[in-house]
Amino acid sequence: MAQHKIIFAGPVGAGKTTAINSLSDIPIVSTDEDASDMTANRKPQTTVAMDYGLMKLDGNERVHLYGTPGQERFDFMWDILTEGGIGLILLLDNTRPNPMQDMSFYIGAFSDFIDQSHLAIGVTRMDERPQPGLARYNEHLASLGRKAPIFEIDARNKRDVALLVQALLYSTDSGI
Amino acid sequence: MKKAPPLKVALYGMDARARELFAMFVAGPGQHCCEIVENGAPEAVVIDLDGVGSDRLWLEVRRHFSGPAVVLSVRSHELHHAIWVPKPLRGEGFIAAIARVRGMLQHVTVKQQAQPSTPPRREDPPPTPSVQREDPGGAARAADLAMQENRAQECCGHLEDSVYRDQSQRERLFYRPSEYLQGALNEAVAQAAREGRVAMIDGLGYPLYIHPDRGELLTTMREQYLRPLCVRRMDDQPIEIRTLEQLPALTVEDMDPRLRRQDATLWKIALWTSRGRVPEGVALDAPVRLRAWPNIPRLMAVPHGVRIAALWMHRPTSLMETAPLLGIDYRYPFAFFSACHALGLIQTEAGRSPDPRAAKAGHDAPPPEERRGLFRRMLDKLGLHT
Repeated sequence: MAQHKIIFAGPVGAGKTTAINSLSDIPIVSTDEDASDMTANRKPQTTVAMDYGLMKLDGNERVHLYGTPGQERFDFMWDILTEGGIGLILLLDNTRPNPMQDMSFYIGAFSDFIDQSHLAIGVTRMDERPQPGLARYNEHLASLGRKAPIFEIDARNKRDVALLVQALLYSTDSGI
Repeated sequence: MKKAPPLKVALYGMDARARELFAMFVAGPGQHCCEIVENGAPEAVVIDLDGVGSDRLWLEVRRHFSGPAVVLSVRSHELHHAIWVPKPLRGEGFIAAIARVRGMLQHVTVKQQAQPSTPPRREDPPPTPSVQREDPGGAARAADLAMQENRAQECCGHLEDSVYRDQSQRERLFYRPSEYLQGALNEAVAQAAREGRVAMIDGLGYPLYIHPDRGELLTTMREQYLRPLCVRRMDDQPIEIRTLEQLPALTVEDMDPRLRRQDATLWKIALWTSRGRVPEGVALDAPVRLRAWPNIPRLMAVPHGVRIAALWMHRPTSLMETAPLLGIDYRYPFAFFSACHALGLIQTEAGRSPDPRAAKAGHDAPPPEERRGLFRRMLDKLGLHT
């Protein structure tokens, strides 16, 4: 049975767990724990190992959806998770103090994986804080030497998340 | 006497808002004489023929559904197997039309029952009842196709591929934004940005206010009023654009939330105005590149928009080459171009020849067929086919 995976990354509270939940055919397997450090200010519970969801396709094919832990001290997990992945969905929270810095950090941390696959970026919570706008994100991404779809999304909305995944797939091959 | 169950009907030629209004009409003055089905097998169709491209919509519906139809229109229509109900819609007129549809269906059933019980001879042509009641799959497909075509026409017009390929009809592929509301809006947005003040467009029935910083368009105008304005030339419409010290007090409840976002409204207006054409002066054979992806989840959907964006981001391709390369109608990349152009996302590489490597859609090295199959199945699963 063929196995594939998509990785969801981003800072604490950006909506990784919610986005995976929007797409998963199984109840999401989450390893959220009460946050004991400064992340508790943003999200009372946080993912300490990983989130796991599953998309079941015809013919017994499966796409595994992995959410990386948001806390940087777990970044040793990231290399293990990304091996053989289709691409990276990076979720950024627009209400965080410096979302551009977040973008730089995650793109740097996953650069090998992005080089081998593709990237799509979803910016969440823009309804709470509209600035910086997407133009600023696009400029910053270009300054990092990358091209990728950047959408404003609501991680609770399946269509938004599905469009982001669609853009990731078509970035790989628009002739699908 | 036992009341007949509601007649199952599929709706065509109505946007989401019109469908809701129609459902309210059925539940009220229509006395639940019919039931709206989205995916099941309809016994009849109800079609609004007052929209743009309604002739084509009618033909499209008829290609897949030969049963009775109720036609709603301000103009009288004499169409095969169809009953015209004049607008404005009234309860008694609509109920009477549904009763006539029941009679038509009854007639067919009786006719079918009256067929001889002996099997027809081999050389006999198969019976072709004018009303086919049993083809649930076909009717559902028809509903899907007609809805897709309706949405496509709403944003991309109905120019046929042959028009795009025909050099002698080239002028039909272009329009001048400055002759339409789109041009006035562009000017107002530019003026607001230049002066750092609220710009106002007056003379449309409802004023439109453009905020210089907030990315908002404020108006009490409704979307359904705005749309027909977009296709009308502004020559005879005395429009005034001026800037104001501050925004007048507007109540949020009075504003149509669908027009609030400036980017989404500019996008929509460009689609409604262009209808599958591009601004005059655009080189159809020059490679098109996108500066950045449009914010697709918050913009009116264009069929195959994500594919077109991916192609233009990764491999600049001319307008004339995009459609055959992706195997889609020409009107889609043309409309998508005009909408992206309105948001300043287009970079044409005029004077450059199209990249001969763009012979096959894909980026870098296209993935193996096995992976393409996986991606297609994932897109099916996500419920996004375009």
